[in-house]
Amino acid sequence: MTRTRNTLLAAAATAALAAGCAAAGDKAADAGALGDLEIAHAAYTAGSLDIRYAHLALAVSETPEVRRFAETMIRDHAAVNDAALALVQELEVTPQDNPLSQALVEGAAAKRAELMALEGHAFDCAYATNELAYHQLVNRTVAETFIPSVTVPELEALLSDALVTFRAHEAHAGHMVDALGCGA
Amino acid sequence: MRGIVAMSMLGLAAAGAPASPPPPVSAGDAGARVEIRAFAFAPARVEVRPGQRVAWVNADPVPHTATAADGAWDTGEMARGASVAVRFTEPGVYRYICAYHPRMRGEVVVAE
Repeated sequence: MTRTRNTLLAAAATAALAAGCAAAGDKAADAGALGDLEIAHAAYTAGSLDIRYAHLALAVSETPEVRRFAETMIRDHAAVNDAALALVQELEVTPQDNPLSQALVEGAAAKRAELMALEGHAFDCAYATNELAYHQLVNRTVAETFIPSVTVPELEALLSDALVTFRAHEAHAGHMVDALGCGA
Repeated sequence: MRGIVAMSMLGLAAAGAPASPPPPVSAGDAGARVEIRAFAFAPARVEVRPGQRVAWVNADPVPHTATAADGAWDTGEMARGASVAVRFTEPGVYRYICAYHPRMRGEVVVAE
């Protein structure tokens, strides 16, 4: 029941997202056409955007569980992105901007604008449900498109490692949604 | 404080700082080693004798902790590759979590 409700909430949040995130979903479907450097850029961008969401949560939310989750997102995504930066430096390559990265950025800007209009429990639930939906989208894209598409073994390893982290985040977000009673 | 423990850093690895894989716990301290990998403590349950140490090694790309469920002890933040050992002096069952990822749980059983 919990998983079904979370899935429904996530689906609703995804559907309610600004056009940018929906566009990101569409772009994700085309992500198989992206090369390694574009995939690296998109993955890094996705992590950076979640860090921005987390900073917003720390600025607005007074709920301890939400704040702890946000702190974890900052800590974890920064660590993953640092590893990605180290890899591109080692490989002496430059990640390339691309339509998927741009769609993620556009969608996140719209979502932040929505979140900033909220406060209290409404903010907490909007943040939590967005985190669940966002991680579901990113995880699906990483697992089903990025990892099968990359050609550099080190990038594949990094993405596979990162996916473990992101899946843990997705589960944590689901528990947070439950704990907050969102949609109840 | 029940089961007062002492914490120490293994090898050259300091908690919170990335480092190369730490050396194993020396034979004189022989206790248990817990690897943190894929957001899990492995093994989730270890058994040691009073006075022995448990060493946590973080093999994940993100920071973790091993933090007593009752708050009695805490390894502090361990970055990837870092390791922290805790010495358990009193018999008992010590449940712990990762403070950052509270679904991660383990226990240390201290018995003669």
